[in-house]
Amino acid sequence: MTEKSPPAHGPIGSPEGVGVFICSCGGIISRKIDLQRLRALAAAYPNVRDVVSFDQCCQGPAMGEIRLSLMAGDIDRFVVVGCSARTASDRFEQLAESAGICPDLVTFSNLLDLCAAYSKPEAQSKAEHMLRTSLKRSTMLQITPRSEEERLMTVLVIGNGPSAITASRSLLDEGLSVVVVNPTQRLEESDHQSVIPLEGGALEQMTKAAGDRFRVLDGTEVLSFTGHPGHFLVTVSKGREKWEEASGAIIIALDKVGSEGLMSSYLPGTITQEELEAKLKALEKLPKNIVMVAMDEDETAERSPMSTHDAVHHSMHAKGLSSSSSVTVIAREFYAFGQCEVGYRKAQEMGVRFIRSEKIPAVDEGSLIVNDIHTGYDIRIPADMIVIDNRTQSFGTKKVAKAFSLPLAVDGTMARANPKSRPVATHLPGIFLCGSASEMNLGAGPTMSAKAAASRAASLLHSRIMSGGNVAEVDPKRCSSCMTCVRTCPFHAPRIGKEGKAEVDIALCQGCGMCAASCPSKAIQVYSWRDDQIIAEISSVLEDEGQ
Amino acid sequence: MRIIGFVCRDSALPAVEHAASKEDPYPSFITLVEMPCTGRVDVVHILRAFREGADAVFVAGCLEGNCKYQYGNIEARKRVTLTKSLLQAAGLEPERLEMFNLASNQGWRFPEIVQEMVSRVERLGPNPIGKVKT
Amino acid sequence: MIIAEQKPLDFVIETLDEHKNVLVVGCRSCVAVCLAGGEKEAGILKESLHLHSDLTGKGWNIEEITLERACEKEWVREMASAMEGKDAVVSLACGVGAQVIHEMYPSVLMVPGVNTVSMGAPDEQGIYMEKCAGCGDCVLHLTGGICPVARCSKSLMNGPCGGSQKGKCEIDPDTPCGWDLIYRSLKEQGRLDLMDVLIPPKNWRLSRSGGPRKTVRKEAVQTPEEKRIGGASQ
Repeated sequence: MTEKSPPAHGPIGSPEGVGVFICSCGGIISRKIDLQRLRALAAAYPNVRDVVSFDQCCQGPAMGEIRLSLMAGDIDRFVVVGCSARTASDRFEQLAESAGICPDLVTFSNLLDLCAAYSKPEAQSKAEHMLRTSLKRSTMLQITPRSEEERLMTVLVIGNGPSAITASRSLLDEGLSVVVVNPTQRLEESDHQSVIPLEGGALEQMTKAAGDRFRVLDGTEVLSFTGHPGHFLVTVSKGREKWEEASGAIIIALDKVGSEGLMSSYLPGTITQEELEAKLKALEKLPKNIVMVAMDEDETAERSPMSTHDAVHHSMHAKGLSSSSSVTVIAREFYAFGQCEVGYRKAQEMGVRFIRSEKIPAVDEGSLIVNDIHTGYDIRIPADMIVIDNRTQSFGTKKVAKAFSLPLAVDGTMARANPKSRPVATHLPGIFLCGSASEMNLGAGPTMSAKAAASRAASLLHSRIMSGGNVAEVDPKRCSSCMTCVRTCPFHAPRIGKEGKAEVDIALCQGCGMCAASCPSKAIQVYSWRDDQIIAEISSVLEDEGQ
Repeated sequence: MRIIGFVCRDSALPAVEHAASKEDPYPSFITLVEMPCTGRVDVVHILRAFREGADAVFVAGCLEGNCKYQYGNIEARKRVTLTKSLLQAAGLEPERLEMFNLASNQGWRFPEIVQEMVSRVERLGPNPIGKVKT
Repeated sequence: MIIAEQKPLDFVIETLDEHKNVLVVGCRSCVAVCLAGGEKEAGILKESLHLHSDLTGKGWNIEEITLERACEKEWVREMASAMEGKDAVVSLACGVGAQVIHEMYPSVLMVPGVNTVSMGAPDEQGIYMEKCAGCGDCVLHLTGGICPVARCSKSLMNGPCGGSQKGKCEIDPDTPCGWDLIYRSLKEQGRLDLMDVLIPPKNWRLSRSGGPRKTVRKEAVQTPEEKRIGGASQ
């Protein structure tokens, strides 16, 4: 709780005054709903000081008028009756701040989406109902604690290879300082040659140019961390020494390292895609029957899109060099993202055969027996050269996952917050993710991921970092120190403090309220989503006669 | 009919807003309470909704695995299951309460959800509390 | 801590029967920690009872209060004004708290809202294992820190018995054999010699079997003068 905000458990005071700004959304709302009646309803509501309606309240002149009304002095909160919070909240919260009003005291009543599509009488009564509920909610809100966090302009990059180098280069270009914590003895500048190679390299140049803005700590492990975006403290160790590194953001950029796999011993005479690429580049003569097995011997492993990717590219390359050779690619699943779809089709047009199979093919006297998933038949394919995926393994992911309490994907890679919509993030704010040792990457190569992660970290540190808002808060008098909140929170915001009671770090709290719902002693409440506020809203919403 | 939905801000609410703005949206007697995450929904909130006369209550959150807060929707589901058994013991049909998961771009599913709850109320009748409350 | 588990709502409803003015009492101590009877659960029970009353027209008047520790008179005293006009209490506090409450408000029906199950600890959140039987004569130093009374189903002083199967007790494949645990613990400590030490038959008079026990800490017992002048109330 900052000086200005009341405790989240305290009594809810009366509002100083409510402003109500009713928008017609360019006529869409007023076509169905009588704004005059809404104005009258609002004006008659207790504590409402000013009611204004606009044709488009989000436009410049209207915003100016609203600001004047807010600055008149007797208003501490307002309701925007018009469109959704999703579209309007940014600008109105900024407006609130500029007028000295807490941005969490802005309520939105979304008539545009939730009312305007109904026929006139329905739309009108629903609008009035929603307005009443919004007014009730507005009068029950409290000022929230808000503070600006300091920003350390350093990023800690945990990595062992080209992704760490690429991310570091992007960060240095953005004017930030970088500390690389590398669990191996030396940073790998480039990875095994794959079709989409990781762009590392030029480490020495980079180090010279950056001077003391760039430090690499080889042979160093991450043990644990505290802090929040803008100011993290990461405990690292090298041998017996232990110390803390401070940074504003963290990027986990572990890359896979090469390894010996079972497959290479299972099929004698087998080569890897990497070795094939070397042969292709050297324009070596290719045998008659090439079979690529783009499969992981572990059936439960996450199917990596990059493996069939390599196979597709190499198969085209091989067919191009040696058109009389027969080239077959066997895989459980074929991925061809974006433009790779074109390559996949082209490969087929060139005569490359693609066979889907669930089981690893068996070897039988110079042929492979593969079970075709579609027909169910076993097919015998002559094989003079068998090519398997490059064997790699994730390195260091278990320890890093433990240090940050982050989940691992099924195959031991670092899990992404959401492979589709948040590919370079972990669920922890300020901690980003890239590298080939991270979860199946949908289409973007590792280099792009590294640059994206660096870009996210740089954006974070180049803007103000605000903490607080509708966050959770503990009432120590009620806390039973049961640690349910500590265990429940995915962001590690609640912690048992020095007094033995739980405390919420508002710089980490994301305001989801899971802690509040699970606390057995009702010691945690969330600003603006306290139990009494929610129950008041339920009552208000169900109040009017049903239909 | 009174049906109230607890909707999460990140998935369900956008889906509802999308559905509502279409031609011939779902019935207007569906009312909503916005939550930062369905993980905030507590058993008392649902019970209170029934006490205040709701004929049916639904909780709508993100698809499992996609919760912005990792597992708020899983917590919600556990609580909804618990509340159903309390409803039964208190004397209300547990089918009046349901949990749904949908993505923000699955607005088309919302009228289906509404239809499901409406048909349950039509089958079970209105909440008896409307009549008996002293 | 004390582990308790809620009784079903049907039971509470049935037991309340004709009583209309009910106080639901929660506790912030053990029952809150094991998620059975804290303020949250008291609120849920109150709301559930109200819902039932509204549905059936019983006209119940239900209130709730949560005490810091229901086993201490000073805190139970705080219930006094909430108790006015009440004819029943539903205690979500453990059996101890429920009885202290009853002593202070003897004319009211006491409905236990929880079953007090054991003295135990969480294996993880939501899963609580019995650890101690309150036998009044602890022998943990002889058994590698594992209680033979609580964790051996037969409370053997010198186990295991023939029913110990691959480290599990014959009563349930999920229940570890207490003496197997003791053996392993002693082995890890390098004290397997203790397995050869015969623990004599237990003096069960010091345990539950000897009747309700009174424990006195002489130095803390207040003299009449201390009681009269000091802050302790009668």
